[in-house]
Amino acid sequence: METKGGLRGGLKERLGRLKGGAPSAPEASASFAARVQRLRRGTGRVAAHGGSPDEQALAEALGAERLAPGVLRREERLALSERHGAVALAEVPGALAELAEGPAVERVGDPVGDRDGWIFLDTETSGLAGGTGTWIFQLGVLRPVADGWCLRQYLLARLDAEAAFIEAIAVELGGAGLVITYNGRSFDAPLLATRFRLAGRGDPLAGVAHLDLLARVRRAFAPVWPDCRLASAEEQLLGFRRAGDLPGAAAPQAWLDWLRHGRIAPLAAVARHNRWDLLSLAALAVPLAVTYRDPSATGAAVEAVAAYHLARGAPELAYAVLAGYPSRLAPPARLLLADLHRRRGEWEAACRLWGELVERDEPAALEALAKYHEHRRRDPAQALALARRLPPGAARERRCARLAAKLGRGSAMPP
Amino acid sequence: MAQTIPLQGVTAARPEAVERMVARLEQRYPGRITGRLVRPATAAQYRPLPPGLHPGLAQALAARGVERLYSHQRAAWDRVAEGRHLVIATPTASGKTLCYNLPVLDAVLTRGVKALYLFPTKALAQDQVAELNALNQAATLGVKAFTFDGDTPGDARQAVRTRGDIVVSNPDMLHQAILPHHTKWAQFFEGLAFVVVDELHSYRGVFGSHVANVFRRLRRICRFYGVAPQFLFASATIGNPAALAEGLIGAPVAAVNESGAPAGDRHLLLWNPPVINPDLGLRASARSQTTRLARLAAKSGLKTIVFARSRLMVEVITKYLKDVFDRDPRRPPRVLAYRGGYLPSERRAAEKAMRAGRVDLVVSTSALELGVDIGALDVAVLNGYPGTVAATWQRLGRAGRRLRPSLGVLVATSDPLDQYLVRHPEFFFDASPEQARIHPDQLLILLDHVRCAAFELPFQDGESFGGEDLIEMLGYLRDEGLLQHQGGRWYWIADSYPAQAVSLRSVAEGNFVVVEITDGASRILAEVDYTAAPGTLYEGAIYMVQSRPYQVERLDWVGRKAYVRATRADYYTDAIDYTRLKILDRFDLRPEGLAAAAHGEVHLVRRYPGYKKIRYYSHDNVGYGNINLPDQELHTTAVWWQARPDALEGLLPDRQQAIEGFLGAAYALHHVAVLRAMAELRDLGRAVGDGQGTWFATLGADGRGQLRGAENEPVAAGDLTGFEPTLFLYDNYPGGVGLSAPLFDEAALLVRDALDLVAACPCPAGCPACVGPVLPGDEVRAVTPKAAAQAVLGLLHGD
Repeated sequence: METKGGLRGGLKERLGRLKGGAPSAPEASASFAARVQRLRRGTGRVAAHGGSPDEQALAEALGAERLAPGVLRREERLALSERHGAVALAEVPGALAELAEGPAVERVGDPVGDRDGWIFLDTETSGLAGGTGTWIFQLGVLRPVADGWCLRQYLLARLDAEAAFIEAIAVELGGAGLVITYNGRSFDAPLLATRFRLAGRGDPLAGVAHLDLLARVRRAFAPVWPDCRLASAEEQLLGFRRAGDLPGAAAPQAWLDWLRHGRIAPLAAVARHNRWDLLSLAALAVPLAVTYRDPSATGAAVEAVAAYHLARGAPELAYAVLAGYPSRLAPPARLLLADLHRRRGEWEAACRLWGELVERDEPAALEALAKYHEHRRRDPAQALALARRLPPGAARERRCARLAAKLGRGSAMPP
Repeated sequence: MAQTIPLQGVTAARPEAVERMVARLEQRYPGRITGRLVRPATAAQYRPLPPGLHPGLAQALAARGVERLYSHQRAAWDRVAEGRHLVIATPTASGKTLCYNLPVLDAVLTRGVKALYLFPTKALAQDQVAELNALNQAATLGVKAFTFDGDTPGDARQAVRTRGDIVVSNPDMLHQAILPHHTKWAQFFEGLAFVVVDELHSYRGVFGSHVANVFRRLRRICRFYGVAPQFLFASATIGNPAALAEGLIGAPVAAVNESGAPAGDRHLLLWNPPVINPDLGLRASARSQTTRLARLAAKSGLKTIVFARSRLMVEVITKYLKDVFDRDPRRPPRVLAYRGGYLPSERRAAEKAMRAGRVDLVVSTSALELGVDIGALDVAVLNGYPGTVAATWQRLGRAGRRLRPSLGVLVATSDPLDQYLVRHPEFFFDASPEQARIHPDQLLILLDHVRCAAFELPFQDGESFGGEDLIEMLGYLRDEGLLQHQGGRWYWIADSYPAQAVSLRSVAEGNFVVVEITDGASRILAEVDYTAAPGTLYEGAIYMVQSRPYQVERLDWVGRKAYVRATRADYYTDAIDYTRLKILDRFDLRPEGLAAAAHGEVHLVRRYPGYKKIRYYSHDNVGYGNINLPDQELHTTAVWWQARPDALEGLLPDRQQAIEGFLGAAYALHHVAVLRAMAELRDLGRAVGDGQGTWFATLGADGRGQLRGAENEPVAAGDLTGFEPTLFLYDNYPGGVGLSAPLFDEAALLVRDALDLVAACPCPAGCPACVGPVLPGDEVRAVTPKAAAQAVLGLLHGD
């Protein structure tokens, strides 16, 4: 079966031929690439191998120390009084406690440890494809410490240093009690697990509680914002605009430029980007805590926040969110509020809301009000009048028939 | 397990119905039956259950009525116990499944190991899980078997990875989802003791070459997790199951070939349609004979399957049979079409209807050749030789499950291959079935998988992967910007997911989707693979689904979509294609007299200039249409023949005759080559040209050979200064999958076969069974097309 004699020549040339490019006269001993070229259409990019990475220079540019060959760490202390955009970071721990407490279901695993174990985490990767071929080349961690904040960034500067890099970040992540990320549940955490597994180690974050703020932002703001990227949240909630930021999508290329050509500037820009991500992530806790208390204060979708609380088994929070401004609520939110009033026995308030909605022939309100008149007011005639306005269907027929029967019995009774 | 499953809902015809039908056919059509074979019923060979069998498993078997094993099942157990890789190659319905299920389940129960089952299709995987679960429940064994395929929901995948004892998947999922994410499967890999590969025979050619590389990657990942699983293969009867299995995993494999399962009487008839025009040597169509046989069988109360070679023919035959049996739309259909390209839901519904015995006639492509469970059938009618002996037996095996007598009929078409076979039944009956071939080191395929493997784990200096120089390939990938070499390792650094771009089913890429836009709808009707698309989805083409015609309105070539609308056309369409070849490199040359055979690399351009409209039933050509499609390019290997110009001119001074001689010779050679190579017709292509791409020969609309230039413009043969026609047979895959080298080695034999084929044909002037269709009146020409082809073949033979 071997085609010895088949497709001779260097690999490059053979592939070129297979790729179906314009046929050319083959050389006597062609390169592999030329073989490929002949086989296949399209051109293979031939990268130049210029420049050699200078780790010392990189460390200096970043203000980082060299933990091991190919592993850099940059550490920065921030004062308690530090601000990020419009947010005072001093308020973050309190806000975070509020977000992470109670029925916050984004948490998984063990109960939230004490605040010393809380870490904000963000990674920079060689791409978004996932799988074992995607690297984490930078890990940023921000954590509260006694007198403020500690921000550490680990950088993988050589491919063959990953074992040492993984070792270093395992130490950093060990003892974490709660991880806070932006889209980390589906991206950063699985990728970290992959890298740890490839290095033959256990995942230090396995079983650690995880609060993904993207989920919270999405729930409250997806109905009102065009997108829920971190940059959008920064602008809308933190009053923070990055000047001269390197877009996250450019990070893989920046790392490649360093590996291949020793370019430092793009990698320094990635470190700055990652630092901003971490600070924004932490600061975001403050307006988010406000949002889940009082959505209108941040322009969030009120009914979405209320529905969230309700789904988490906290109707009192849902009520608190809605009761503040019934007049500004959209019909679904008003229905929700009316129902919360009903559950609390606040019939007058409930009827007022239903009454407004019934004017628009809102079926759910018609039904609720019909039930109210039937069961609480014992007024089947009023209930029937409402039920007749329900959209046609079996449910309407059943309800009307039952009410008519009731009415019939009632009128048949002696006065 | 087949021996234990009771027939469900099937009202079997009485056993003698098959014998009666055979007798009737022999009596009424003796001239059409050119060969007859009866394989008498065989008795079962039993062996006791293995002594060390897990008691729960023995109990589960007992609950299903299995107290002992067939001899081959026990032999399989013993080989596996010795720790060897194994291939089981016994006939359809002999209980192959238990051969691998027994040792696997036993090891899962006693040692807590894991197993990966691979089936070539999703449908087969789902059948298998149902089977495992049935056995599992028979004694509450607690073994967890899950399917893992494209339909597995995201939230269930985690459970499959961590809790599955047996994961049932397909090679495509292994390639695109499991291996590139192997760390998520770490727990599974750490316990992996068995890889079961069923339907081994389907892993050949391009697909097999890809899968061999997927297995190289799998074994590499297994080494990373410190395991070396045993491979258990199951195959239909092919000539070289062990060699194929060994080629797939690069390690020795023990074979179990002797079945101990019982079988009923099997009748096989070779059927040649009657000659209806002796002057032209024209026979009645195979299609007409096939539908007649199917009608006869159905009317005798026999469940029948008809195999056709193309999707188009499936639709045409289905229509004809429906016109007879399904005229009343109020009654459930008795005739069903089944083929690739239908949506999975439609296929599942069809399978269910067949299993329940609600269908009397199934018309299928090779899609049903595989082990999809469709219940018991009595008769299999093959409309044309499927192209390989193994596929023939596999299709015939669809009839006669269990102990019932069965009938298979192979109806010959006018193809030379079919005619050759029905004229040489001994070849068919005696031939050891085909040798399935793979070419795992095919450069493009290998490089695709080196790329995927590098993504999965960095290569180390000194590691090997396949038969090419790995360092050279890795260096190439580094230069493409995909890898970086550091500290003795080759690291993947690109922002991409290479497995996504590699399809195991083709060397080219990108399936086409057929979208129905009737009445403003936008519904996906079917999928068509890249290579078939230009010939089936051109604008104006009639595309059929369950014999309902749709017309292609717009083809979005770049977007890989064809928009179709339901139509009532009374015709179907058939694309015309031209092929132009240029020789790039000659590896070898062997002179034969005044001619020579050569082997080398060629560049090929295929063009689809138009199509014919053919009316149903009459099969009249009722019009033409133009096709506007980009040229299809192919770089591959070929074998070719040339004669010295002076010798050719001396033999056939008229260039027109020479061209027709070459076209006829190419036609005959193509067919005998396919037979020799045990390949299928579409695996090889043929062409006649000058070898420089300046002109090529084709049959014109008038049925005469003519020359065309590089832009498909007519060229007058007489105007050419040099005239050196070259006859090519090429490997029809980019880069070739290793078909042309053996053809060069047997070049002289091939030419002799072709000469025999033409000389033995009873037609006077040439016919579709030897040199291709000829025109009325050709027999009175001074040099008939047949004589011209014989002259050319004689010259090429070195006479």
